[in-house]
Amino acid sequence: MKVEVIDEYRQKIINDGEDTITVYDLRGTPEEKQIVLNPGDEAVIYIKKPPEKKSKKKTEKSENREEVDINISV
Amino acid sequence: MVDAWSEWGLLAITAKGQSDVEYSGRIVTDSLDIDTGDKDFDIINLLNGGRLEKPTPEAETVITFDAYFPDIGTSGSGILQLFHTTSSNWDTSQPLEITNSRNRDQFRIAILWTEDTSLTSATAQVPAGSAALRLVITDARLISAKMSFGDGILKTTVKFKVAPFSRTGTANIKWQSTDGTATLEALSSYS
Repeated sequence: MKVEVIDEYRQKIINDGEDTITVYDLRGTPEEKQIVLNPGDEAVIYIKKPPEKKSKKKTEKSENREEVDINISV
Repeated sequence: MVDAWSEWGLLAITAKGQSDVEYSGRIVTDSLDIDTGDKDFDIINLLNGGRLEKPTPEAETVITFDAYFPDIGTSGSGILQLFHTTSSNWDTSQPLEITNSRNRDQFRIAILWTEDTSLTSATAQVPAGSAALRLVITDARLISAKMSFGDGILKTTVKFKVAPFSRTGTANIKWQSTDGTATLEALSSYS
């Protein structure tokens, strides 16, 4: 079995042997999924979940916000 | 309904934290032996002629099989690295080498008999429509890997031993079966 690290979240598993190997996507998490790799099979598995990308879309509230100068005199 | 299981089965061994590796393609069919620990009791004779049962705690379960291994690989083609050290010390770059050590790993062993002979892993899901019987043993120790060339072919007799419960009382032995009316779900990872 060969393991190629793609990035900190993903690994490519190649079953280059003659026996079946079973690996787990998102191992140990509620989303864990079993992947059976027969000889010659390969799969990319997540070893941890990548962070969700934040939406770049601005909210209506922030778009409509106006800059206001505030002068405070004491 | 299945009358009996014969001829075909799957056996996967998993070192703690590692992948499940299928070993059934190395194991001699009629060598597989599951020596389930006894739940015996002693008898105390009472003065009035009665008998009192004194339970003996469930004994260890031992799984033994003969296998033919061509090397010391850790992906099904060998067993000696599993015997001599823990998975964090496995050598996976050719040429392989392992020295004996005081390290001892823990293993999960899954043995599956099913009508669905298209399956290739003892830990896989058995879809509805096929009967199946599965034994799952966790936290077992690989206590013996004796080799013999006596018959002119290099054979290894492998022995796993498991305490029936962990220190905290969690069961280490689980049996599952389905008559085909329900799916037998895949096993979770062993960590």
